[in-house]
Amino acid sequence: MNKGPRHRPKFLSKKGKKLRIMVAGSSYTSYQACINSLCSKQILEAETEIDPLKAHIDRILEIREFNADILEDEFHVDLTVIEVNGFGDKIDNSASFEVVTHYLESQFDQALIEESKIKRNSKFTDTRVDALLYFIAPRGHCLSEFDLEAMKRFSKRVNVIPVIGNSNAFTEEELKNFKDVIMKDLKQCNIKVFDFPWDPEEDEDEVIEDNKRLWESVPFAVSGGVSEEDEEGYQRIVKKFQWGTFVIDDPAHSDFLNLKTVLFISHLDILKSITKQTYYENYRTEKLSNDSPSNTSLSLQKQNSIVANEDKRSVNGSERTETRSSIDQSEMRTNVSDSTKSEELKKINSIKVDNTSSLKCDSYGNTKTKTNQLNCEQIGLEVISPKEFPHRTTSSRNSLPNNTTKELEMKKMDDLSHERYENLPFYR
Amino acid sequence: MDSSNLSSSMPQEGQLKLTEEAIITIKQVDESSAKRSVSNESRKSKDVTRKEQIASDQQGDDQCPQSDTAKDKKTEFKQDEVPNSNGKSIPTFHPCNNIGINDFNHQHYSRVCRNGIDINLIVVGESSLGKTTFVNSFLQSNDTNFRPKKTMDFVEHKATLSDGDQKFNLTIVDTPGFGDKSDNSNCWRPIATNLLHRLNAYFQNEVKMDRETSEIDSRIHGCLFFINPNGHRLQPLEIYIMKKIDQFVNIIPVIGKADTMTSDELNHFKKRVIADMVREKIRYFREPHNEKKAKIPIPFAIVGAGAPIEHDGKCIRGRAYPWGLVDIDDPKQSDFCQLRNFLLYTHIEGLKHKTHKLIYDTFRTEKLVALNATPGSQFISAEEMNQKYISEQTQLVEEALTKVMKEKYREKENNLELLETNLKTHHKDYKHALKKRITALEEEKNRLIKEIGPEKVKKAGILA
Repeated sequence: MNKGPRHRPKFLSKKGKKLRIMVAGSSYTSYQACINSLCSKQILEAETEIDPLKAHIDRILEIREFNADILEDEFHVDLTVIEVNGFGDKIDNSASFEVVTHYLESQFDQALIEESKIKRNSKFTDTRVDALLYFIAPRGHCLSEFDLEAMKRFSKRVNVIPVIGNSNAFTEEELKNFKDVIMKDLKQCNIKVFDFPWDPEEDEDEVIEDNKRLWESVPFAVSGGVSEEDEEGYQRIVKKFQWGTFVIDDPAHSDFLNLKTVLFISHLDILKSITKQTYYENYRTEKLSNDSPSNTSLSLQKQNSIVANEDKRSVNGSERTETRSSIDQSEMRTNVSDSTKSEELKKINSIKVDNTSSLKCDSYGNTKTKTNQLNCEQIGLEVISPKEFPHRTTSSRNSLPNNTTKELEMKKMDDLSHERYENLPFYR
Repeated sequence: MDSSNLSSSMPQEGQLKLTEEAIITIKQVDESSAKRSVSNESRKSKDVTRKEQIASDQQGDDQCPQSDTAKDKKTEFKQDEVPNSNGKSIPTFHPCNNIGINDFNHQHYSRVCRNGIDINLIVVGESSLGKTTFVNSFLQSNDTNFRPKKTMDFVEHKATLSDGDQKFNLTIVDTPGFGDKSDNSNCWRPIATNLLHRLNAYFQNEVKMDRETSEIDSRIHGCLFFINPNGHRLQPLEIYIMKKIDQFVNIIPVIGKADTMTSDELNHFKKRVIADMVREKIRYFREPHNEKKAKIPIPFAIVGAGAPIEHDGKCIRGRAYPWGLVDIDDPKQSDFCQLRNFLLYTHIEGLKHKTHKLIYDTFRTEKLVALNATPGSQFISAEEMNQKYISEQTQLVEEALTKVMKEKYREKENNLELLETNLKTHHKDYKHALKKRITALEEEKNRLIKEIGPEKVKKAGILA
């Protein structure tokens, strides 16, 4: 990343990238403290006061949203934390899965309705969940049936990142054993969590090594703490015991820094793109193939009222994009924007064919401009999607062949896009 | 301390009695030397009480000081006899050993040391809270298994712990944890079944005609309920299970894996747990506050220990973290020692008493009431017994009367039979006579018809 002064074009927004994270776990994992440490703010609070008159009533599983603006030297993220309060804390947790799954699917439904409209709302806020931090209780033996069932269901709709909460309950050896047991259980039950995909040809060696190192440390062992100043004046997050001080920022003690890097710096864009191109597309295919026309119209009418209500509440959702590429790439992007303004919608197909090489540059940087947001998204869906699917389905990560012939590229792209659904584990 | 106080107070009373008797005898013997002998006796009695106190503290033999006093008495009598040749010497007898209530504590202590104290415990809690690790630490078994396995069934650990003269016959039942499944509504049933089974076994033995006096009491005296150290409050599942089993056992709340919390969090959590249990009306084990005794840190914060760790030349039971070392035997870091004192020394009698008088008696009452309601029960009240006796007597009378009636019936039946045979023969003869008469009348009719003539008969209208 560029740590020096950055060239920021005028048309880019000043707001940070949007990231929506869902947090699920029982209160034993102390996920509230962990999220507070992650955001450096007090945004989630544990329930300490219970009304005695309502104590006998079974607590309802409720989903809350909290906003936090994470601003540091190298990155700026507009974070939304979606808390599933009371998950796994009931006596009968059978109905907890449906609540979370229904929430995830309703966000996809809203995006689907907006996509199907003739006149699209320019102020539409994308509410799809980019990642789900599943907090595993620090048991030490194995995953419970509840945890396995939950991750199996959620991993079909969202990027699941398993996290061991309250990891200061383990010694080094116990933690290593527990991580191995968790990964073995996940593999045995065919649960696909976020596996840090990489492209061996296009990515650099450093990126590949980082992804491998991060994959080996999954699930991340984290814990919450209190921030204080060090002797040297640096801020750090600690948890003080009588036998020593547990420093959460220290990589030898916990994986807090790894989790922070994955969410906010290195894998932010990959999480968002996988959410759009894998989970959303799968859900869209299931939805459109299963629904009959009458049901579709009824569901559309119902969802329209929801969207109409949300339009009033929605805030301007324009995103600020950060430039990683050089000045030359930004000039090429401005040329693309100028050319698209002059042409009509009917000539979009010719744009695809003519500017294929420039779109590849867009796919590398994952940068989008405000004016070309819709067009770039459309084009990006078709261009980027063939690359991402082979990473997740096959062990050998294949890249697109670099053929100069345009016709061959289009045919092979069609072949890959045609095969992408057949290779997915959901259809096997 | 109490036992020593009791044992020391009783001999003083004995000594007071002895001194009074000595005064009486001395007065009878010689009044002129009464003052001197009284002062001497008081001095000697003080020395004797001091010796007895030392002996009772050491729990040694009490015969030596008694023999010393006996010797003193004998020599004293001899001295008295020499100057008074005219007066008679009255012999007095002194007990050599403690008798009666004075020796009760010693006898009880000896029996307890010989037989041992029976303690039955059960460990209950969510999965992976360190229950099995705690059992291993408590029984001091050298388990070198670094990777504790998940307990899948009820496991009964038995051990005999010794502390000087005292012996403890300890039985701890380790249970599989609950809370793994989505629906945990029925996970309390195996625990309740186990507890009820033990109560029922004791009840059946008590109710039998021939009791087995040597049968071991397997009732659970205490339940170590491991609480999830989430730092906020009791889980709904924990409250639910505590309410289900608090009528069968004494619940002792224990915070498992307490080293995940800081000191402030732990103190705050302890208060929250007690407040939650009081609000939910869960009956956990507690005794009225005694100012003399140390305060009980309920719930106990327990840290499980793995393999022994060598640190500064010592062998420490604890956990080795990258940021420090936890010693479970350190009272500042863990309540393990306080829990051990609680279970083995200070409160074991209270736990047993409450188990027998409150929990078992409630169970017994319900059992007897239920048995009384069922037909064919083996327990009969006095009223029912009286009714049973009356019914038996009535049955006997009824049998006797039936017998008499049967005899009369048989006799009458015989008479009727004889009468029937007579009537039959009589009827037969009568019938035969009537037949003869019929034939005679027929012949007479035929003869008359021949005499008159058939035409006149027709005119007369007499049918032939």
